[in-house]
Amino acid sequence: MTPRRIIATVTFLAGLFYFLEYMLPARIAGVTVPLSQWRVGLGNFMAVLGAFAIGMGWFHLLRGQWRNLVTGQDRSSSIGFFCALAAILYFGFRNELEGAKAPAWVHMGFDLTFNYVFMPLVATVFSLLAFYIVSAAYRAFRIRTWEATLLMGAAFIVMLGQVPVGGWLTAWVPVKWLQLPYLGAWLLGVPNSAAQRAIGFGAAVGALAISLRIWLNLERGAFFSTEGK
Amino acid sequence: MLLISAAVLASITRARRGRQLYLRAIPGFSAVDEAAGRATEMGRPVLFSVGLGGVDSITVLTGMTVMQHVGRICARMGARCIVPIDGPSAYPLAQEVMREVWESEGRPESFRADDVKYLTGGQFAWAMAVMGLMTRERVASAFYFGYYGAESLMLAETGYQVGAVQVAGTPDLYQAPFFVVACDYTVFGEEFYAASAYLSREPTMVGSLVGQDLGKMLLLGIAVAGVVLATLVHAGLISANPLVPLLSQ
Repeated sequence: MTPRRIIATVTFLAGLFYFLEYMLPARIAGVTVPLSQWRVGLGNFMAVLGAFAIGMGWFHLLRGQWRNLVTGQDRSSSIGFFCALAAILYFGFRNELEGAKAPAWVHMGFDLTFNYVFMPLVATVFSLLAFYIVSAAYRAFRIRTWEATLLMGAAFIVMLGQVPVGGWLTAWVPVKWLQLPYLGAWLLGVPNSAAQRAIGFGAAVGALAISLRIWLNLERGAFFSTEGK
Repeated sequence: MLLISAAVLASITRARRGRQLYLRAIPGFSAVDEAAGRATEMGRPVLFSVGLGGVDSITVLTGMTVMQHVGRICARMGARCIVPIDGPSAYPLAQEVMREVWESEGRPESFRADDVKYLTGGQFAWAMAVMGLMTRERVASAFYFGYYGAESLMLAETGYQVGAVQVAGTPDLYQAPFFVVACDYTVFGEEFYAASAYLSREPTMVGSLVGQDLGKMLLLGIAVAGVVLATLVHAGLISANPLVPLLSQ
């Protein structure tokens, strides 16, 4: 049996298990269906497999950084990597395993590396998004095509509809649904929702079709065989 | 769900029997070859990202199908293809797929295993590492095919700043607008899952797409029936929830 055929068989059996586990009732004609009881065990098995994969990822990361360190290519960042790794591992393990019994300097080290360095760095990167949004929005709202004009108009109404000044500006309009807050809410709730749901339906059907193809070994492309093979 | 599955399988069977099926052009996929070829002309690498997640994610598997296609063009033309990986379980698979591509193109010696990189599993740390890679390597083309979170715009804007031609594909509704704004071509929603069919043109795949369309028509029919019934209930022509007594029995 070739490796591809083994993978196809295991994929089919695993898919069949989850399909039947979901579809079949817990008892049929007085007989207990044990599938649901096996789900936890199978989930644990998958977690163990995933842990092996994490190990492979680690191995690659360490190998690449070690090579950089030895060859002198981008050495400073590799030194930083190994120092940070050692510090996080040491403080993280001791903090987790010893808990309150760990010395104060271990807690301080963990706070310093994780809470006061890593977390603020993540927050900083996330904050960069605000600047990227401004830059992207500028390009999106340049009125160059009919679609861009429509987008600009809709965005203008929705944004003004969200803030008090929008309501204030159009409070004099006698027809209530033509006032900016109502118009903005309609744009969001009706045409926007309809389009989003339509795209969502399409994506869900697409995901279902590709899942079926993988389950039944009909998929083609990367790591799947080509037609006729 | 069973009806849609049946429609997909029936269409696949029909297509395998030799029935010719039409596939409309998807500009995002048509641009893939052009964008990958551009890197060779410029002597700069291509970046291909399969997004967040591991091999248990359908989006990663779909992304790898496009990655294989892009890798093949790069191997043929002698360009580098950098693949930054977020999910550890996707890393060995991505490396194997790319190795096979280079071997099947008869250029195993040009394959650089280090170009498939596992960077980190942390979302923003990964995003930062990819942005750094794009800037340092001055990538000529960037492909983002997979599931993305808030980092979608960060990556696409960095690609724009380094002057890369960018093609993105994601099934995620919330990130698609960011890609539409910042990338040259975007494939989203169901088009994303059509990747293997569009790129391989194999009957099984094209048949599956026709089955998807039948499934969508079914959903559309249900939606129209729902609208008609709701209207009739609202007008007082039929009583609300006439099926409820039947279902509760």
